[in-house]
Amino acid sequence: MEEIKDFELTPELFEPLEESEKNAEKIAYESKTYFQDAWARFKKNKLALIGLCFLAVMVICCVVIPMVSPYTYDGQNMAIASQNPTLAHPMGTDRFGRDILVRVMCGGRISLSVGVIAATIALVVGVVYGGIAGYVGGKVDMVMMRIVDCMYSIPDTLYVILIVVVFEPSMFSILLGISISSWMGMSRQVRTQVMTLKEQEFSLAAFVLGASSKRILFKHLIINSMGPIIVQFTMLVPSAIFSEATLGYLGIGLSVPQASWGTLANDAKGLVATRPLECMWPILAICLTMLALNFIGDGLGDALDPKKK
Amino acid sequence: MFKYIVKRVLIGFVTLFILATATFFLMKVTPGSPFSAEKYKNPEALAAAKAKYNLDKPIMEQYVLYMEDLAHGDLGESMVHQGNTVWYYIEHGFPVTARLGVVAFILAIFGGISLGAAAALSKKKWVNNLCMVIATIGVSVPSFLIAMILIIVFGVELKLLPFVGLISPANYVLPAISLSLYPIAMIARLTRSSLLEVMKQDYIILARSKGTPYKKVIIKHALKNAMLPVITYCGPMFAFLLTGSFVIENAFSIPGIGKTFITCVTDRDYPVIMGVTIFLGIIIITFNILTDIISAMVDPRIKLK
Amino acid sequence: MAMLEVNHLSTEFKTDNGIVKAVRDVSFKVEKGEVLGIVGESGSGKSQTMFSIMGLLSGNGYVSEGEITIDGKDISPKNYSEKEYEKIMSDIRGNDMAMIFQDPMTFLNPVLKIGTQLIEPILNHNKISKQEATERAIELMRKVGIPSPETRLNQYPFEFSGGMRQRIIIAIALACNPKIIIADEPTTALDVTIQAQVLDLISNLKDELDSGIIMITHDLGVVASICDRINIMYGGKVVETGTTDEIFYNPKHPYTIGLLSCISNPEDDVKKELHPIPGSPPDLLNIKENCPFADRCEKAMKICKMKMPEFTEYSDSHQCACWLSHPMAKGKGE
Repeated sequence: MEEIKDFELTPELFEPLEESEKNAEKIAYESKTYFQDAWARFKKNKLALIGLCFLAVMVICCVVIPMVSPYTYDGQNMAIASQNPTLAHPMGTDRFGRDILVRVMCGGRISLSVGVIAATIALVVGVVYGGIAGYVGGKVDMVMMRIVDCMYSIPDTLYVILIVVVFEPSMFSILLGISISSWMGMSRQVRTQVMTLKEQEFSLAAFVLGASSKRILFKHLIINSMGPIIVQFTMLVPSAIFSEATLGYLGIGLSVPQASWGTLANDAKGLVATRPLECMWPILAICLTMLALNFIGDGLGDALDPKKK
Repeated sequence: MFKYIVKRVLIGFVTLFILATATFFLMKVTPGSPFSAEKYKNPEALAAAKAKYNLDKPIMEQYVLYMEDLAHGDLGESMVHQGNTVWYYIEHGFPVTARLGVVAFILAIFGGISLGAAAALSKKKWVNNLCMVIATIGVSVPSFLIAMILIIVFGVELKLLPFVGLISPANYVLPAISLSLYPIAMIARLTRSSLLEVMKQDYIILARSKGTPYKKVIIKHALKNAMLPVITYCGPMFAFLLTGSFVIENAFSIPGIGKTFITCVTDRDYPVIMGVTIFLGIIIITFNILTDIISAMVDPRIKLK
Repeated sequence: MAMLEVNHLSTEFKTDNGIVKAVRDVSFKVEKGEVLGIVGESGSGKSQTMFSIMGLLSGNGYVSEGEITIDGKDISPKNYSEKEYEKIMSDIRGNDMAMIFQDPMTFLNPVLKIGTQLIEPILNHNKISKQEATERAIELMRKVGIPSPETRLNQYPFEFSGGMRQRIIIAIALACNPKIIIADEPTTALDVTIQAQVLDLISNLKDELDSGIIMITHDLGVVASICDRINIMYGGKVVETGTTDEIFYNPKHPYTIGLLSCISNPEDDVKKELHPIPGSPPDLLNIKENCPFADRCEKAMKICKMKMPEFTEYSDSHQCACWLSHPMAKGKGE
């Protein structure tokens, strides 16, 4: 404050300050909505941004490359079997002469959609179940949560394998298995959120204003627990991809020629010693996508948690 | 404390009962059977085999019989390799899995806690970031991929370590690392976040205001509190190590219970699938109970809840 | 010589939005056996001043300027490297200077026994056996009025009521007969009846020990009953300082006057109207160097928004920083 360091005191300076010149109730910060604020914090997390970009590129590639490529995922051509990467086949070809790039991208379509669909099912089931348990409370809540506790203590992989065994390996059984094994975490989270929020004044206000229980639950409580739900969801996607890939690797996933990343890794298992490069591609695809998803999840977790402000 | 344990054990039995029932009925609705093989073309042999496994009785009776046997500890007999009881498979497979599991468990606890503590407490930013990158890779990359990468790098290319079977101590290195990387990463993340949280607590300020040196404050006041979530995680971690062995034993050709389980799944050998599932269930539930008791011992507040 | 002397202390916090100047150019002294009250609204920097003195600021906070001496010993953070400072302070904390905290529910470690937590400062600063330390702990518990201390020693904090926990925290602070005791709103988190008991305890201890006590509070009623001198803080600065009588009967700063008109006194014969101070305390983020109270002051003048006033001395003990006391402002204050 250079300019006021040595200035002369004049009588005018001792005139009363106008009311308008005071700003006793001034608002110090620009007001932002919850999601604007979260986005601003998310942008600061470089790893999460890189993850988001990578994921976007991956999704576009998985959609576009099999469409524009002259090769198909099951088109065999023994003449060019087991080639190293060339210009025509940027990732080389497998032992049946199939283009690995197209196969990996098709695998990505399956793996990514399994991830998103299974996570969405788990999300819906978890939110409804946890929401009801938390909102109703009392004995209903106790019974519902005991069931979740029981199911929770049995590892996911066991469920998924058993269900896939029962219903034969198919997209349906895999989705069913993964969703059954992954909704419990979500329902616990939602329940805790709803229980805390239920006690807060705004729910009481909504109740006093005559809102129905359904409206309070979905309009007020679930919307307010959106942050943790989104974070949980972004963590469910990679874990679903994880489970699917594990099944594929164990040879009880989707059957050939339909190949997910896990199945591709399983195919490549036998080639570890002879053609390590060929089995690197599906491994790389899964690793990078999982990393990207986890970075996004971590970034969102930090961004959506208002406590970390 | 005693009441608490009794309650936990009761819940454990209920869980086990539900698990056994669910597995039983799941297996019953499954289409296909191991008896479709060549040797059962003769209808009499098929009928005899069915009778042996009570398959000719109504389903509820089968259920009651199975539960009775289960109560006596009898898990039944394999349908594919007749004469082999389920216990035979468990006795042969489980010790192998357990040995690997224990090595991985120790690795996970020590590796995870030191990594997480370093990430939370180190003042050097790069130590911080490095720990967190390792932890993120650990939770992101499926263990079979780690296994494949380790096999390619250390087994095939560098020829440093063996990667088939579990014969010598050197054989443990790669499987144990691939199996424990995920729990290491989980524990590191848990330790870091709970340590950071604990260090912000008021009682840390009070401890420092007594003139207790910083390092001692961490050891005496912070670590015990910060370890609570890690202890709670040990139960699920044990479950993870057991089911993780499905994959790792497959990748390293280790003759453990996981490999048996997957073989039986592919062969549709129902009694063994059921038996092994229930056995794993018992182990996991026991560990969950132990974990809960240990957390109750560390945190005096839990007993009251 | 003063037991504790603080000169031109400034404390800042680095945040994402900029630097928060929580404490700005604060100076005061505490003599042996004296109780100094520090009064201000929440966010006025009174607690952060104390945390700065104790060296217990949270991670993003640091003392940017100023000297602190306790019993002649220099403990200004700027004069030492971080390591040296920590080393010196772990000898001082709990021994020469101890702190009583605000919330008894969160300041005790939930997983350690009361005894362990009480013995810790004794063992830190005395070369005695655990047995002797335990005996001393029992004695301390008796002193702060905890019945059957021998059994209470082996219990956990959750088995204690709020008032009992606050007594334990006081006992921890008293463990090594410190020269300075800082009490940071020791009664705020307690029920009214328990508040009175704890205040009673503190004023009894005041007579018993000859430590200097700093009493931080936003409750003028509390200071009136036990303090010898009072500092009024606003916006990270001390705006008025004086003896309790001077502050209560001859307040000079408009903020002090405002605070006093917010107290209700049931003994008043005439029904008095309470005058709340309009507005809210200033945001200390990137705050300008003018009078922080100008925006809420009824008598604010143009100069108040431009420059921070100097202290004017009304007596040896009574000082106030307000432009109204400037000769040119004569008649403006009425």
